[in-house]
Amino acid sequence: MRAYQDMVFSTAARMARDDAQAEDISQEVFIKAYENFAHLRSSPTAGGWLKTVTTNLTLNHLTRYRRRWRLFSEMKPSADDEESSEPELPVPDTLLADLNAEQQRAVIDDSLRRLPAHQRIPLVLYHFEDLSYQEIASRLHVSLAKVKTDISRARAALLPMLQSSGAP
Amino acid sequence: MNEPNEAQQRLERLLDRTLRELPLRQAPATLESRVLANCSGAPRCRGGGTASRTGRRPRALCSW
Repeated sequence: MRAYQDMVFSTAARMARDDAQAEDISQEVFIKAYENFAHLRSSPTAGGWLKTVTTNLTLNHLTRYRRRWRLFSEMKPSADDEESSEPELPVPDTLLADLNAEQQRAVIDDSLRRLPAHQRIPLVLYHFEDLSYQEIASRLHVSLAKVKTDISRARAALLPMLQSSGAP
Repeated sequence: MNEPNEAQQRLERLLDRTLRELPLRQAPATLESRVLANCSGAPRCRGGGTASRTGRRPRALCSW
């Protein structure tokens, strides 16, 4: 557990909106690990198992503890979402380069939490959990176009937040 | 100004690079004791080691 708890907590905290919820999820993950401990303790894929369970439980929590209609109404595509036009962005070569790693983490975590759930969750699944657009669409029960649009908008929203935080 | 599609790809690569290099957050100090309390109903990792109802040792999970 000591080898994995930071990874499990970080994974949950990036998708959940607050640390208390992330700790609840982490606790559930390790209770499940304990139930499967005979198999897991010597498994070379234990880290992957824990990460997958963390992602699944976090998604379950987000639907269980939010008003269900609200989460999925946010996930439903609107006519505007299906449009393919994207903002033209001046993209810098680096972000947060003047900050150390811990400062960067704090800024990024704070910025992620300022994104709406329907943008934050697919963005985290794509960039941190290595899920493909199609896998994310399947997990969130939304269209592929919706996932692409939401992730694209999440990036576009994140960029100015990170640029302003990283400005000297 | 970048072409839109090129800008999107550059932004994806930039964020990917930035996000993947982040250090992990430190789990709360209370997490371990909460897990152990739920696994065994009693012993804490630092002092425990007694077997739970299932016969497994929560302490082993702690030091895992």
